[in-house]
Amino acid sequence: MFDMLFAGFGSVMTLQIIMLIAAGVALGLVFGSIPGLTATMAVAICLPITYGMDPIAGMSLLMGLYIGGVSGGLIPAILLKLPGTPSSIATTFDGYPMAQNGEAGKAFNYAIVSSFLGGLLSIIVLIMIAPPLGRVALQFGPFEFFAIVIFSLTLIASLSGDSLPKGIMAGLLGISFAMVGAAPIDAFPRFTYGFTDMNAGFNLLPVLIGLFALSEIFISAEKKVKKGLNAKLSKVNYKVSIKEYIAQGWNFLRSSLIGLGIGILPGIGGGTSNIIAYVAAKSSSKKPEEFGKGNPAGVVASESSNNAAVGGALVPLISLGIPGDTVTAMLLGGLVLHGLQPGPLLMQNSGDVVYGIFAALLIANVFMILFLFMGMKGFIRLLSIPQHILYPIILALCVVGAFGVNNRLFDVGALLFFGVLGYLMIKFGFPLTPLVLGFILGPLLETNLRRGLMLSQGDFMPFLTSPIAAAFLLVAAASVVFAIYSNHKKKKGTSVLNV
Amino acid sequence: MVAKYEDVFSGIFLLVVSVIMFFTAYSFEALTTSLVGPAFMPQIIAIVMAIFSVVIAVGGFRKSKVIPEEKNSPEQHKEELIVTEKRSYKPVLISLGLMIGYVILLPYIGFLIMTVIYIFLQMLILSHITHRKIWLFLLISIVTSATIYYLFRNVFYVMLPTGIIG
Repeated sequence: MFDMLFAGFGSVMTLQIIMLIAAGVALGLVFGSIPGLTATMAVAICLPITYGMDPIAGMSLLMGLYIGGVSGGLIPAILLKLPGTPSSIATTFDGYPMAQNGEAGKAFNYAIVSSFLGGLLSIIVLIMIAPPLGRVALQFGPFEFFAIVIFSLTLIASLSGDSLPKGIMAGLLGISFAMVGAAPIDAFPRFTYGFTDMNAGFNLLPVLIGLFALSEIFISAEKKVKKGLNAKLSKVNYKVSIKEYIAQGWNFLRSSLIGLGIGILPGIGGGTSNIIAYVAAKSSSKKPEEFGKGNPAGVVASESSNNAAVGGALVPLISLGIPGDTVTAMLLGGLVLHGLQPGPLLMQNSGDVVYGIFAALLIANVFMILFLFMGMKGFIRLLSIPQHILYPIILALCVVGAFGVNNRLFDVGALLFFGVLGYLMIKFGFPLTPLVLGFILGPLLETNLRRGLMLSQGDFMPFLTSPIAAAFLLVAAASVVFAIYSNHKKKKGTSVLNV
Repeated sequence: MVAKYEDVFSGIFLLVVSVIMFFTAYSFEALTTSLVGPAFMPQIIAIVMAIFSVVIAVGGFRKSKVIPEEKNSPEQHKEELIVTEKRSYKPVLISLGLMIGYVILLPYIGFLIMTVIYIFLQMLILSHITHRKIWLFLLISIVTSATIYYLFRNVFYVMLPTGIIG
């Protein structure tokens, strides 16, 4: 394993790739710190830049963006009580009161160091468990894969969003959009309604960019912001003693493990983990009443868990080809773009790229902590760039990205279509993540179902008699029952995530 | 009004979509001798979608009965805030129209010119009247468009449409 990792470091230790990682982290931090711009958007916009690069260079840039994008949110969360990304919502609870008490520097120190350590821990776990998991997954046949996909889809639908039926509906819509174009196995063109442009189906990138970037632009068009954000940080005192760090040790470990576990589950990532880790820290604290008034433990819990979710979310992506959250869905698009086949075979066929990704993550994590400590003033200044200047530029870049996939204007049209769809879904209260995951997993589901039925000559029983498949289907059923139960409880006013 | 019945509307709309999906799938021919052809999954998905669209619509209908005019659910509350903060759907529609125009004219006029026009107009739509700095916007749109165009054509090799110049 270590020789592979060293080889990975060897392949990214060129000036060009190191610069790409650094640029990725810096840009990711900018996107993460400006509220309304997200890590997903940063990856979406930079994907077209990687078209001409070799796979390791391209993926390294994207890893930098991912790490930076998740981490940048802590800046406005602490200074302005505005989470830069959903990953930093819980950081506002105690980070902002700390800043109000004149401890902004201390809050930054805690947040940045726990981001770094949480990220580091999760990357190490990723490096240790993804390769063996991928080897196990190599043994899986269509029956097992079908069950894993069903399991992932039910988890996504039941965990994201407030309403279970709407989550499931969004997932089903995603599966349906993936059916447009040539069918798996026999390539019969479906749902094209006579348009030859539709034969190839919708490309993943316009779907993702439309849903997550364009929809934000429409939302921002609804309301005109009169005042730009104005954050000031006059004197920074970053000083935190070693003793204070050690006092957070157990809290840090628990939060990181929560983030890691939630990251591994498909469909939810940093956006959920930071709140759960915060609640866990609060409820296990001896003085829960201090939370929300500037307790550093709240900042540590939130920031270590959201960065730990990064490594977690990459585990199913690298070992199974199943994305763990929206950014990893985008990264999956990046892998496909570079001609790499995501799935258990990825490790075997392109092990060099996978270990390059691991090395890039470790390097990006170091850049993240360096940039945040050294460039804090600069990032704070960037917060005042108004959205009405940023969004039009982002749209132009989205159009370039969608066009660049195949040099087709059809993809740009699809981009607009999914932008409008994303906007309407947000307006009508449907979560977007299940749609994306349904779109990615739908074809896998159908291919494995049909392949399995060909293998068993039309018999459905092997889907239930294979022990691994049966176990996953059982857990999937259990997660639906649990979701219905908690949905029911939430309606009565006792939310699981009641903070 | 729309907010109150949003789930009813979306449920009924999705029901119609699933019915269309189900019947479109009848025309898919099986090209293999397998038991499960290309129509199998679409029809299963369409049936499940139909069931959940009814669940959503009925749930929405019940919700609208429980809270007739009082605004106490989170969604209703949000809607109230929207009214006081003067949210308007007009700029959304204008933005959409602008984007459609941009995409349609892109191959004829070319990326360079269309992007300048698009970015400039979109900035005007998104900005508040007190923040409209015409010359700054014009400068930003020209610089951005030119940078993207030359960078992507010459460095990243994405062949953006040239149109009337080039």
